[in-house]
Amino acid sequence: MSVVGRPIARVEGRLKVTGAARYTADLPQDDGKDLVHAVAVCAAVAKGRITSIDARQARAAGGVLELITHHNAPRLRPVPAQEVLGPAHETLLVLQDDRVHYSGQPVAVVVADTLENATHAASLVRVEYAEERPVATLFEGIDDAFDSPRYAPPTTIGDVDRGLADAAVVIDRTYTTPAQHHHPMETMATTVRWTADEVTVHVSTQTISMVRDGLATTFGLRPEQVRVVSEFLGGGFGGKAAWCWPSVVTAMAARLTGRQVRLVTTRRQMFAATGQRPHSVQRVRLGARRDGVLTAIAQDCVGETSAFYDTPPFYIGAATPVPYGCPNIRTTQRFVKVNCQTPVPMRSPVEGVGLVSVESAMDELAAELGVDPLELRRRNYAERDPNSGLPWSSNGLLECYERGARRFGWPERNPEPRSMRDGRYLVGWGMATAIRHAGSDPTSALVRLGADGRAVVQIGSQDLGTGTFTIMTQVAADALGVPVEMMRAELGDTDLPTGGGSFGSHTAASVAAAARLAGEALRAKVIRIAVADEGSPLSGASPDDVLVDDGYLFVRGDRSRGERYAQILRRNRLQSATGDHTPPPREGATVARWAFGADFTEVKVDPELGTVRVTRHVKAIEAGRIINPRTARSQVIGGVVMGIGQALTEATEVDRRDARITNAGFWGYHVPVNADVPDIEAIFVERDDPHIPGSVKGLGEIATIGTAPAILNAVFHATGKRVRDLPITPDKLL
Amino acid sequence: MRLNVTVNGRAEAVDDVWEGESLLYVLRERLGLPGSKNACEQGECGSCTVYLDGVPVCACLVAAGQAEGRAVRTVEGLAEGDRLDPVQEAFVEAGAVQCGFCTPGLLVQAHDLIERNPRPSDAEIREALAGNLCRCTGYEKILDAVRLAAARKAGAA
Ligand code: FES
Ligand code: FES
Repeated sequence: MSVVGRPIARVEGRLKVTGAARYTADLPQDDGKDLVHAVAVCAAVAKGRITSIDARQARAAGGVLELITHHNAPRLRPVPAQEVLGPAHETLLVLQDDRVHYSGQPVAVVVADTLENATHAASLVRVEYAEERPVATLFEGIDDAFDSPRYAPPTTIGDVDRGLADAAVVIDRTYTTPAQHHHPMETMATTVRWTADEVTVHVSTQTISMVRDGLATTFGLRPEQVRVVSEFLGGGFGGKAAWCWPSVVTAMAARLTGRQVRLVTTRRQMFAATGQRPHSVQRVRLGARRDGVLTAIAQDCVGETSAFYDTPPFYIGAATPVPYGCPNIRTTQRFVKVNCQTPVPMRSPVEGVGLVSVESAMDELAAELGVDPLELRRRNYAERDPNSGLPWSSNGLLECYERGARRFGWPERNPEPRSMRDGRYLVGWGMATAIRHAGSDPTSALVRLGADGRAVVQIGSQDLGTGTFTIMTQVAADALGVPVEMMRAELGDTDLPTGGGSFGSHTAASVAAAARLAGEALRAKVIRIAVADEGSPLSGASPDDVLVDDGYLFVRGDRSRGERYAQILRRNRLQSATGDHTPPPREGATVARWAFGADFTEVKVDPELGTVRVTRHVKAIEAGRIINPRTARSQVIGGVVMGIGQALTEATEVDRRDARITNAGFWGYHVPVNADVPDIEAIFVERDDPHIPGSVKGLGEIATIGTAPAILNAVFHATGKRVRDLPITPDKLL
Repeated sequence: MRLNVTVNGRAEAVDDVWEGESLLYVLRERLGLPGSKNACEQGECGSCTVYLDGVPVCACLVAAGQAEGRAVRTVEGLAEGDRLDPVQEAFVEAGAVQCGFCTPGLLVQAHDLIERNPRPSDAEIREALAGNLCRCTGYEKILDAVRLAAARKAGAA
């Protein structure tokens, strides 16, 4: 019986509950003899020049081995824009000159024998700056907003001006979303050993292959000289998508000292180490007929980028044309240079940010027309992808609406704002549509079978914690035809067959496709060996007639004529096979591949205090086939809770005078805690998708997309007050 | 200084401990017990929670010297040999673990809750785990796990 689709417990669970799983900062325990520690000294101003660095006291402090500044740091090679290694490669070559571009930028690195000595010495480094006036936020620089040289407007469909002119109703609103930080519980950790032959990097990263390539490029090495390992990862959410300065400076320190060097960023440093979700302003205009059918969607965004990088790698409005079948759509984006890090993806850089405004505007349109918000969306259902004009590879959106609404009890909703109460609390119900592009990366897998009948599947991918170990075990076991207990997964090492990044909701689709190909190839290979092996009961059978069940190979129609993998392998040594997944090319695509969802939420608002609590949430998702409902459900619930943080509590606050972050800690940056979490239900609307291997569309981002706008809409329904500025803190409701 | 401390039932004598070191540092860097995690180092996240003389504490906030002569129990000491504690089992089964970085601290905290209060209500569970942040799971499955563990322990008792 197939184990794909079954809710087996995660395979590495035991290691994690016994404390035996080794994360980057836990390594190495075996050969830690020459391990030394690096601590970064970070800029105390957001813009200016370093005029002097007094490191005498620090160098003289106990245990100090090296002190790196821009005067003695190894020279780095820039990564040319056309070679940009992914969504979040480090865009600033640190410690190369005296310029400071953001508060928290590393200006020196101390290496010492113990962490305590390094931390102490770092506190003794005196840096003087010639400070300049920074651009603290998007608003300070908005007059200088520019078009990105790298992007033309991604979408112009039809004639938006005509569509707006023809509309019976036009909604024209502006929304803002704040900068937010990922804050995986594991901060950014790197350990590097640099020898003449090889550079070995243990790092908490979502993409080992990109770290390898990034390090090789910037340090002038060949990729084969670099090995990157990341077995257990304490979350990432986009912040560890690639190569960032903590890893760069750790590599510098290892090269200069010849020692194995570890650097673990502090929680405070995580506010300027791995990038942020960008602050944005989004103007949305929706034109519609009286019956609610859309005649125009226009979205004009302004987003932040850093002061030193004007080709940000993503466009907030890129997916705006997808959810609704509207003939006239235009999206634009301009950028503002701000003294902050270059933005990076955070649980969807596109839909997770850009649909906040569109989905809120849809709610405003529904209220204006007196149409139920869900019904308005149904009336605008897109029969094909409006962006490409292509048919959907599969699309379960209407069923998501239907099942989510039924489960939530949406038909009971009184459309009137402020009409529902629970004692002193105002009750509001809101909903939103979620979409997310379904893609995958080129990925290779190797499956190996030993004489004991046990198998291993290896992929140079990584497990963020979502369940990659588990699903690749399930898929490979099925493909080979062995019980899941007989299959073991290995990942997180560039010595393994090359995998892609664990971002963009690509991992499950990529890993599953490759594991299946490799497992099936190995099954076919062993069958060929067996039918040609005179010692086998299968000898002489046609390979097409050999079936496999639970590790037992037999001839169709005669179960007694067969033997187990282990028996074949004992006579024929270790066997292995590889599988290579290649995603379908974007050029010449004949279908549009997307995952769909619908969020329904209930909030209770205290009318005197302005506090909002989410009390109930239902999320229906169509992401093709679910490989493991247990890990999937946990991932989706976690995604919804991250959406609650996005809507209600999370914002990185900046002092507008000096561009320094004022809430750099969990004490000031509030991620949801368990008391913030309501009853959350995840519904999987499953679909076969003939255009996607295994029908796997990915869950990581659609888990969060849609939640924040649903909450915004529910708050309006509860209070009659429309907040267009995230997060919805109590002051905005009073 | 020398620190004498019993960790997971074993008497340890740790030399060259600097006065300013945290108990978490001693456990992770000197005793080879990196199960307890450092995620904020200022008492805000609970990832470093261990028992100190039977009371859960944030090991990042406890100076090493404060542990002198006392007993520490970490996530590595929850199982009995190969047999997982019901709390550990329940976390795996309920899907309460994703990346696992918050898990060691949560396990100790949940273990303590059930020891003190074998039948905790949902509100009591939330209260007891209020200081433990998890960024992956959204907490729901963690609550399920604690309920499951409590039921199992009660059943076994
Ligand atoms: S590391 Fe101790 S509470 Fe966060
Ligand atoms: S499982 Fe990742 S932080 Fe809790």
